[in-house]
Amino acid sequence: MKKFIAWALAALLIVPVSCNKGNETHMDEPATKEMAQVIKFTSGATIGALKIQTIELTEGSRYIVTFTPSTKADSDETVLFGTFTFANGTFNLLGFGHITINGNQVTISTETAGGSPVTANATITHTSTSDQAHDNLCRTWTVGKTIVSLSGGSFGQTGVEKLFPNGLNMTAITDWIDETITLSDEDKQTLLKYTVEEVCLTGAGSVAVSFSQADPFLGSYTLNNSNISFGFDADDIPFISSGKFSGTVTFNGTTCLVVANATAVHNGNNYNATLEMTLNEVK
Amino acid sequence: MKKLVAFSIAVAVSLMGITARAQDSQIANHLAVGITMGMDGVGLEVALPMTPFVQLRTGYSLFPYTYSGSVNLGQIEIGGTTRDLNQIPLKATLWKGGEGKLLADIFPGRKTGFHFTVGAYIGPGKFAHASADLSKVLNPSDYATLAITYGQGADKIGISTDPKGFVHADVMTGVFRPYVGIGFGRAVKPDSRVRVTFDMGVLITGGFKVQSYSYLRNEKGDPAVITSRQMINEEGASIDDGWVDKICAFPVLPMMKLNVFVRLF
Repeated sequence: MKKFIAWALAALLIVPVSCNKGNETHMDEPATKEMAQVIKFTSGATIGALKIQTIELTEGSRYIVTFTPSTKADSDETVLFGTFTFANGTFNLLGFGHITINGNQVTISTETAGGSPVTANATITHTSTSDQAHDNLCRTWTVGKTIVSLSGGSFGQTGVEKLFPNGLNMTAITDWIDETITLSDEDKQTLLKYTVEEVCLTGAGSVAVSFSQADPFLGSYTLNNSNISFGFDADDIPFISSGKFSGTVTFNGTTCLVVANATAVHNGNNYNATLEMTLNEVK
Repeated sequence: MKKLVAFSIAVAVSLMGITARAQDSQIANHLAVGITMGMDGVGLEVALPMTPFVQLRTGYSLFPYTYSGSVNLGQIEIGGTTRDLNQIPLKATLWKGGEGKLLADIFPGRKTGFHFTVGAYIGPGKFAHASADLSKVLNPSDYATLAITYGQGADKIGISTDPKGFVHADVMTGVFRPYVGIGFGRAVKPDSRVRVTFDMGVLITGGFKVQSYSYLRNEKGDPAVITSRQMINEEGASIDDGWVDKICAFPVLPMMKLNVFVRLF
């Protein structure tokens, strides 16, 4: 009888362990999740020659400001990306200015010398993540190791993969791609600028990527369970002609593995390009 | 390997304990130690008669010979550069890591030498292992960071060198493999000090896996299982006519072994 009880207790101990295995990763809540919102200006938010379109305060302590193109011919919107803090009812957007929100009125004080505060009407939408995958993903990340894969095209049925252990360093990656399939000088020069500093994904479906030597990209993403797709302005990304990537995300502790696939066209050949990034949470 | 040696010693010690306790009952009252040589390599075995009809054997074997030579793999384009893969140093061996075994000989009569054997081999299951030294062909910065991939989608595999510039390949079987066979001779016979016995049979492997490794995502190497689906040329046509899959599906491995036992008591 004692043996039976001992076995039964042992079995009970095993059951919870088995159940835990199937659970999703629950990451800590990012620092500014409760403040996450999108401020979309409806009138009057003009700073100097630039008209502010939106200000997004993200879950991961970063802000994204978009400006309306300065001329009709220029379709590219200008993007500003940085860190924000909140104190005494004021959001301090480092490198940009301060904003205070009163109902649907937003007062903006820029860091530009001599600039006076501007108050404008806006539609404010508080963003909230809808599931565990979004809860985990919507924060600010740095890129750890990166694996770039190329197949198809001139490779036929084979392909190559290269590990870059120190982030998404496009200088090293461009050199390798150039050595592998010979890039055009234009593509090479454009790609060389991009060394990713941070990747910020938001509950509003935005993805901002900041670089050490170039203006940030702003794109969008959709996440369905572990399936993710990214869309960027095709003009921003040479080599990947559509600007679209699709793939998967998985979480492990405080890291996230993003595997993003795209089609790259080069010298008339279609290549399958895969970017596999290990993202580390910025605390 | 250390675990296997420890396991074998533990089993041997246990058997000796049984022997000591069984002196009076005439069961397990003798013990022989033997040297074995056969398709599982060279090994040591301990044999113990349980009854006139059953003898137990346990032991450990490893393959002591490593082939060293070179292989010509032609030229291959890796990372945009054509590399000459001829005269690549190659080492190959069988049963890397060794194999532990536990066997029971079942004799149809009290005096017969002929017997049936059932049991199991336990070990890493690396039936064949080969490693090619690409350290002189690749840049050190490409060691464990550059892989060649074959196939697409779920069939895609990548193969890279390890951090020292070596590519490894294994023909794998399962960790636990049942053995059935027949044999001639008794490992332990009370009136003989030295006995020679012979075993022949099959290891039930359930098939084989040919695999290499990629070290890009895991410093210990992620297995890249090679099947006929990856054996295709640039036009997508099969280059092995499915033979890799056919050979790997073969569920058994023949075994033959000659053993010399010395009765300790």
